[in-house]
Amino acid sequence: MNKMWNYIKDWFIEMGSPPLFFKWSSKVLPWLIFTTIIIFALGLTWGLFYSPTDYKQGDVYRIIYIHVPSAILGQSIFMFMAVCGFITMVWRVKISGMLLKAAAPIGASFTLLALLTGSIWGKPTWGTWWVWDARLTSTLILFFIYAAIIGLHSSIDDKSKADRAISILSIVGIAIIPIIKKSVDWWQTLHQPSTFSLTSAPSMTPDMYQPLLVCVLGFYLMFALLLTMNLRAEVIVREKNKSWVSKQYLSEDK
Amino acid sequence: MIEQISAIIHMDGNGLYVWSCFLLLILIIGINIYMPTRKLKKVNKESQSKTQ
Repeated sequence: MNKMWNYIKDWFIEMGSPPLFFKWSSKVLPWLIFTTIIIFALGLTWGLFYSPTDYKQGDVYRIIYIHVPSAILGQSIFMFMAVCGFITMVWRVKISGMLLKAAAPIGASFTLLALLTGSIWGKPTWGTWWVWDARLTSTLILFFIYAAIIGLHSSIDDKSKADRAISILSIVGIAIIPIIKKSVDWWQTLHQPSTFSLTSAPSMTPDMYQPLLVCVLGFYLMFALLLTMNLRAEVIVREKNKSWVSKQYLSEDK
Repeated sequence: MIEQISAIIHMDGNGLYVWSCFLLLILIIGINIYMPTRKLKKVNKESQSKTQ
């Protein structure tokens, strides 16, 4: 068992070495772009054009196909970052620090998108753009934590020190995730309870939640794609003075 | 055909809300694609000016 664990760990560390990562990601990237575009377009077209109109809200409910996946992504990316932070602190794997740094702006973007689309949805349904309610406020705090992580990293010149600093921030910041998750149950809020739950049946009809599931998958693929692009750029920027970059990357570019 | 398209765009008066969310989504993805591309271009330029 121990041997197997070591084998898996070594494999990950090898795959995560910057030159090797750059090599295999070049091969994966075209496929990732292709699959992401297909699933993303399929989910959004299905949701925005072909799903039935809600009997209460009318067509405005279609914002759900953008709002819910971005909110899910905003929280999942943070959990992903906390895991990367843990790996950076415990095993000092270089690539996990870069992953953490590369994921932060994407997480911040989707959290902001969830806040903005929620606000646009709130106007016709709640009659207001914003309320200081538990779900909305805790999500806003999540966005500020993302902003703090990005700011902290850019303020420290030594990149490996900066990686460790944001690792700590993401591990501590993870406490916000259960608060966001449970905010609709713990406090009286205007926000409706979660659309999806792992333990109970969804509260929507299948022809409404099926496109939503495809959208969520499409958004996850979009995250994988944006993360790969960001990480490749991060790797090149940090290793630009190393010989493999001029041999492998700059020659590839020609 | 034109009626159908205008119905989709209009969405019973809710079109502005739904489509502005869609535009925001496209904008945010666009920014996230532009940022790493710009970073890589900068490194390329630097390395080119070094070799010249």
